[in-house]
Amino acid sequence: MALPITKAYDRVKAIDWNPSYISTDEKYLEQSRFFVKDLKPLDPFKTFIREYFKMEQEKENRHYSVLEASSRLHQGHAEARWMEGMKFGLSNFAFVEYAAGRQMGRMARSVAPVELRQGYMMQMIDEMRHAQLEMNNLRHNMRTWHDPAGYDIALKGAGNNVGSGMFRAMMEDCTTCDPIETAISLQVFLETAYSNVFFVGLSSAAVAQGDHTMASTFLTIQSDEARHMANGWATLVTVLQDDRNVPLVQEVLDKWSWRAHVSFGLGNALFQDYFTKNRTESAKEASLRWVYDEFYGGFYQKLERYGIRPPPRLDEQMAEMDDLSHAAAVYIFGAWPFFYHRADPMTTADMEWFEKKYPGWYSRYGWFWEAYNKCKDPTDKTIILGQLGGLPNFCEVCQRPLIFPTPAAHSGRSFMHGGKAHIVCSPGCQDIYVKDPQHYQTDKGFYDLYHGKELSEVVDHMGYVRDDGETLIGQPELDGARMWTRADLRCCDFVVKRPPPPPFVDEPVVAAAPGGIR
Amino acid sequence: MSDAMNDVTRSIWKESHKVTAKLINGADAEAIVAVMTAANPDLVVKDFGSYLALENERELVFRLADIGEELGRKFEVPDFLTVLASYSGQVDVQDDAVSITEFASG
Repeated sequence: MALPITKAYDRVKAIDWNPSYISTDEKYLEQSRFFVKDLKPLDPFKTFIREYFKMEQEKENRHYSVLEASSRLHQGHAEARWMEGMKFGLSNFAFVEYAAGRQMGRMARSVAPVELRQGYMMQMIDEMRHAQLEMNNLRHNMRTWHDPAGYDIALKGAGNNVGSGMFRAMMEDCTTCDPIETAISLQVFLETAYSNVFFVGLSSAAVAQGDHTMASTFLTIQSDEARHMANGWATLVTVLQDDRNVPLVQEVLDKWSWRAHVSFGLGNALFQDYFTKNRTESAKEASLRWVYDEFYGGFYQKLERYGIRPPPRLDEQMAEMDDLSHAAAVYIFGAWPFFYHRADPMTTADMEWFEKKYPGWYSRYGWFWEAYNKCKDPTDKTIILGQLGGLPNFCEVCQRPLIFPTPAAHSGRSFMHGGKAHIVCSPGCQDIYVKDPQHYQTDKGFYDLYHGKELSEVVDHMGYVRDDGETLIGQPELDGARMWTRADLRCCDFVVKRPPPPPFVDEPVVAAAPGGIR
Repeated sequence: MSDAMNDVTRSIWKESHKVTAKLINGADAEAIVAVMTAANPDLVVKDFGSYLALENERELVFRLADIGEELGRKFEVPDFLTVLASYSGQVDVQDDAVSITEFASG
């Protein structure tokens, strides 16, 4: 008879060894600034390799049978708004997951306790699986969707797209920070706070749009994330055993509460509100339930016993939920030639739904949709981007465009640091920059590459043109009388111009965390 | 900067004893719900189409033998983790059960 799990787990842990052929310093290439020596970690899932692979095989069997059935039985068409939106949405997932795999390999190499290493190593394999699942979903959609253009360049698009910059910056930040900060940023914020609302919450929306393969991809991924969430909690409570770590943990929690909100939180809000046609719940409702009630109320608040305080911008984050998706939509729809999907503008029914879910929506965003709907036909030679005055500046920390919390009253700012002027989207990102400026030194940004170039040249250079070399992949509506071409863009006479910097502020605004309620 | 929390943060930063499990919808999830409903009279189950959400105060204990009996086949930890999409609370895998309990406080 097999040993009980708890006994077997202790036996397996006991065979961990220190190699004689390499010193400890050589083995652990990186040192964390956190105090981790002699701490006693947890591994609540107690997963063994043999059981792990058996479980993952079963998940794979269940998931790929869904893809096979979908291909074989032609299960009808999903909503076009969703399927087109997923050209952008799904393209971003694969590299995010792959980056998470890299991070876990680094964690397993950098963090000593065997219980944590075991969890990290299996998570590394999970993340590679997720990247493959998403690439297979891209391939499936490319084979089955009536307009595969966009799906065929998805990975390239995720690499050079101005909208994907937010997700690239988020993952690079996770990858290049302190190893313990990597665990907290990835496993606590991205995987516990936000991947739940994304992969589980949005799976309902995917089903409502008729995209069962995507729902299956989301859910089979999140069933692994359940272990990753436990890895995050285990890492947190392990390092919090040493009081010297409390201020270090607080600093990381303060940073990533804002950092995750402006990246993953923003993406989720956009996809939930603007890529769905058959409505389930609003992004604000989903976020309040999953992120603010379950995560901040049910998870983060429990850290108070260790002396952890709420993040300083929680109220600001909550307030932004009234506008986050709508401001993002102004950007992604307004800049449609820089994307690789057909946009589906909001209808009267959508606007009524928004007004119900976000009272006052029309007074804040109705102007944009009225203008947008007058600029869809290429024969009019008018592009919405020109009506908006061009693209905005981008934040040097999170890469968000400077249109938040609302395009009409954004919180973008310039400030001097190290003798140079810098641009950020918000006081929250300014705080992050000034605490660790070398982390956010930029290479060439969008305007360094394209300032002064005519729009059709830029779109061509980015590779967002169909096989005929002339028709754009991105379109401002699902089924226009004819599709926009590079020649149409030239007729609009639009040149990319770097906008003037936002107003300067004198002093950094470093927010302190509010006190606890005890 | 004041140490006092504003009303918005205070509204979130409150003691909660709720624990949840989200199960990928299907035959296994339905069997688990049947077992859990019988064992927990106050259990709240919400159907979100692609997943089922189970909510309870303080703890959810999934006894694998009971679920196996409901399904008519052996049901072990990896089988349970195959359909557990997410949870809130502190998870612990034991020899014959998986439990989700509220995080210990103060």
